[in-house]
Amino acid sequence: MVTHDPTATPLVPPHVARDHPIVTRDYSLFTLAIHEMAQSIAGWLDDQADGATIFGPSRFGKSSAVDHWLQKLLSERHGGYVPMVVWSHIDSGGAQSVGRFYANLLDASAHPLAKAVRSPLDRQHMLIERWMAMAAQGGGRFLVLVIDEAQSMTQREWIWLVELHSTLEKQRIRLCVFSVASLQFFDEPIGMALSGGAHVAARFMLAAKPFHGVRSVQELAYVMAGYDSGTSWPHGSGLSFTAGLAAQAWSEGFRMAQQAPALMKAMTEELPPRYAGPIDFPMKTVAQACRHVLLRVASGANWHDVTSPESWQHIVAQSGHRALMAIVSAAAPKLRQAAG
Amino acid sequence: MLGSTPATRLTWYPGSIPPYASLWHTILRVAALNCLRSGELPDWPATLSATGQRQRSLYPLHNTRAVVSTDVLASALGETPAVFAWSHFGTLAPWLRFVVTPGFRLCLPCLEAGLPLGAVLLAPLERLPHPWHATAGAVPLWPGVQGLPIPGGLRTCGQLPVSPAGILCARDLPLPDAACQLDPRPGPRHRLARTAVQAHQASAVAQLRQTWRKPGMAQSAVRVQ
Repeated sequence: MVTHDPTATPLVPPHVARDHPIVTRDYSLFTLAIHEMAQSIAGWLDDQADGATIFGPSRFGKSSAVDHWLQKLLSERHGGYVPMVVWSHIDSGGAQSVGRFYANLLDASAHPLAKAVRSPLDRQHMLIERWMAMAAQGGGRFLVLVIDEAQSMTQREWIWLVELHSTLEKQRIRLCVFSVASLQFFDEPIGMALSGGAHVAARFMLAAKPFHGVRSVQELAYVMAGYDSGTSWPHGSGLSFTAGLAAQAWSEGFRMAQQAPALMKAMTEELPPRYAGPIDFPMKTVAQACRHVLLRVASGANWHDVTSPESWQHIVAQSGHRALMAIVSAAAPKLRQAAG
Repeated sequence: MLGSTPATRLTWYPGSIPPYASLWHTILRVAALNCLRSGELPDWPATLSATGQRQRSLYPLHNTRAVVSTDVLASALGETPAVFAWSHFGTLAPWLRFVVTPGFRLCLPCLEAGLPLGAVLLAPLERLPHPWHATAGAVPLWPGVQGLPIPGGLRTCGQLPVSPAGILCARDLPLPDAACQLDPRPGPRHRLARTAVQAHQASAVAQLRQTWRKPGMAQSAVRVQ
């Protein structure tokens, strides 16, 4: 016998536009960790470092920070356009695939002929010319290369990158390589540095900074306030995500920022047994739980019910929070012992 | 064909096209920066059959056959379309192109001197200074490629900076007086042809003068190509 289950109804109600950022998840909330990352990289740029590493657990918001915020924040701090290429690392293959490596970097540099058939030498020429032009466009003689998922870089790829770095150096262009790597709690990027060889590490990995998630209720409230005031949809309408999606609840005083203590409590209670990691929660859980709540309220559910402690805990449990925290902290006891 | 949104622009230094730079010169720079191959110019026909030519060739001097869209090219480079004004002579009337085309052209003084039509089409003649030879600084450097700019001043025939292979520079043609001896009794057909060419010449001169008087159109711009 089939019974009516309210959770079986679609989460996205028909009246919500399918291209709403909450639906498509095409948005990024500003966090303290993003601010700290931008500050660190800006400091390294000021010091003319050749490279450095940002590391943190998976799904904590590193890629979102790089893709949505870094260019804007660096340009604001620099007082103008900062030429930057963000490359989400794709394995290039074997020793003969230097051409594919260059093609991937050309693609990251938005070159329209990145996928065109070319010899490795031609691609290298195209890449050097591209980066020199970008550096010139920035008005300086430097270019920032951000490598996301840098933990997968092979020794060969690091060496090819050193060659590019040296080639640009001869043209008096400084290539600043910032690696963004996913590591477990208490892990250090030493292993990644060693995988590229000592001379690679000496050039690109002399400095490193951790990337944190949400560590306190205050931080979480700041992040969730973005749904209430830091967002706008449709563009330029002045309607925040909360006000637009949950108009009735909004008029009754519903604010996402006020839900921070409840969400923090739910995330803490959903930690795996014998959890040995720090109180440092991934943005993936935060964004997924908040999206669920907003869409449920947009569907007409009572916002008091949806934001009850039991509801928050259920939503957090459904998001895979426990499994994720278990994964990113699996080696924490051993690593903490080694560090201690 | 390439897209032209800002995110997919070709590698280029916006603002680096000098005034009156030829389209050919700009295309060479774009090709060098981006390792462009045949068919990869923005909006350039992707297939050989689409060019309507037996060989894939660019003729950017007049930019009339398999035309390179300067607007699309400007967009792909992040330039304004205005930078390509007078980068080619496609705006000239077709019958006026001979005055800016390297190679065979009408030699107006020769016409005035009474050389027969078949002979004057073999100009530039040697050591006959006249205004049209100002454009003789641009010559074909190799078959099929035209329009590479070679700055040159007013030159007479025989003083070309490059001796172009394949062009008959009528060194052995008789001088006008001698040429008249080729046909001491010109018949009605010859006189008719001469009259028609002289009328054509007068109209060409008038239009060319009008073109040169256009604002911003320096005479040197014509001379370069």
